Amino acid sequence: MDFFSELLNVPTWREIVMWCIGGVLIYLAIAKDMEPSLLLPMGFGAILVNLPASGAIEPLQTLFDAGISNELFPLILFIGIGAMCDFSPLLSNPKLMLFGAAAQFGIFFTLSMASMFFGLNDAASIAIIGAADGPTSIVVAQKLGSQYLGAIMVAAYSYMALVPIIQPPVIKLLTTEKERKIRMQYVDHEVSKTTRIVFPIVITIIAGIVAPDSVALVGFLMFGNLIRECGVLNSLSGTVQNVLANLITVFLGITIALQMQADKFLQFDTLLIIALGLVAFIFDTAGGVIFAKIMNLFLKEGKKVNPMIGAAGISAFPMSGRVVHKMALKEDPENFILMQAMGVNASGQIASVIAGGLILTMIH
Amino acid sequence: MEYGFDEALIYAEAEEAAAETEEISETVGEDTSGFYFNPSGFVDTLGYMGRGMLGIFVVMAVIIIATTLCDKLFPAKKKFER
Repeated sequence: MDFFSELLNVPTWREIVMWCIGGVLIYLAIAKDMEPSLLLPMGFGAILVNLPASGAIEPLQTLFDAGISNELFPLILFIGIGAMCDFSPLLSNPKLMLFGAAAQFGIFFTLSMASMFFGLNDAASIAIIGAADGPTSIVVAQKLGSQYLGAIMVAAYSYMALVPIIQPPVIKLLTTEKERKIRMQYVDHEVSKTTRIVFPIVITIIAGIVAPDSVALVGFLMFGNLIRECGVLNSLSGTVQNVLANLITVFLGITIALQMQADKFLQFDTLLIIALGLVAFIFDTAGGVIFAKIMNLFLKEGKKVNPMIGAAGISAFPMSGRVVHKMALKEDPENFILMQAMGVNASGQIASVIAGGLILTMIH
Repeated sequence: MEYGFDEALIYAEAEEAAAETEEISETVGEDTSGFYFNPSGFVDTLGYMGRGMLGIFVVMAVIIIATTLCDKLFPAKKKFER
């Protein structure tokens, strides 16, 4: 019997539960196509690190120290994300950025909610789930020294994939049918190449002056965008959008799983974090929509905005913009608000990063 | 136990720092060692909510102004309505 007990490492019930959770993440990634690039590595990683006396812990710890604990992986990923972003719908109508700002309300509301259950640093790290942006969540949680990185990442990426399910009921609750049918005129204002090149540089400088802690996040995002827009680095732009982003995504997903060891993950706090993450997304959506409705109080008929575009200010790009566009078409098959929704969605990308920087500036 | 002058000073400073940390912990709940429920945490952190939202709107307003200026300084060639 001693021979067998030495030969076989019997898993604990907690480890078996984590295998099931890993399996669920893999299922959601493959069968439901929910953020597969992150949920699949995280799901498999969860199984790897929860095998008894797992030999994967050490190499994953090496990867974690190399790229997560120093925030390197998420920042490099941001270069790729910046190169993927097309800010032209936003540059055509810069006022749409206000909706992106309003849609970050859920972050700060969740900070207050989470403060009832967690210390300030952990509450802020949980609140940043509302940024709907994986790299921002990782950077903020790491800088604030949160012990809940695994739960935060699972919540963030799961809810990002669930935006088409979370947002519509909230939008319908806060708007009337008449409001959802509001048509918005789209003025196709051409933006010069010089403006597209200067934009990322200006954003970085402004963010750096206002919230120095956001410079890494904003700077890397805008660096990627500059590579895209300069027009002389097409090969590099293609590389960062595809090869670099995919490489880092693979490492990021499986390395984050190191935080999903049973003793760290299977706590009541994890359920609380998942619930608070949902609160963040709901109040992000509500914040954007209510801001749009308030704006309509001051706008004349014919100039009013469709309040649904406020919901697109959540940083889940481009999913949130498409959700809003589809909802508008469902209400009125001739109501095309895609460009406005995508503009707001792009502004949400910038606003969420700035929100992360502000959180760090205020709390770090 | 008797302390020398320097040791007494260090001991007193350490006690003062510990008392200050405990006071801050009680105010905003810095103790993250386990689950707890502190309803006053919501009200205590409303200031962060106000400053955060104000900060975001201010930053985005500055970016809007900067973007509009860029567009004026570097205009594109044509403009049409769809």
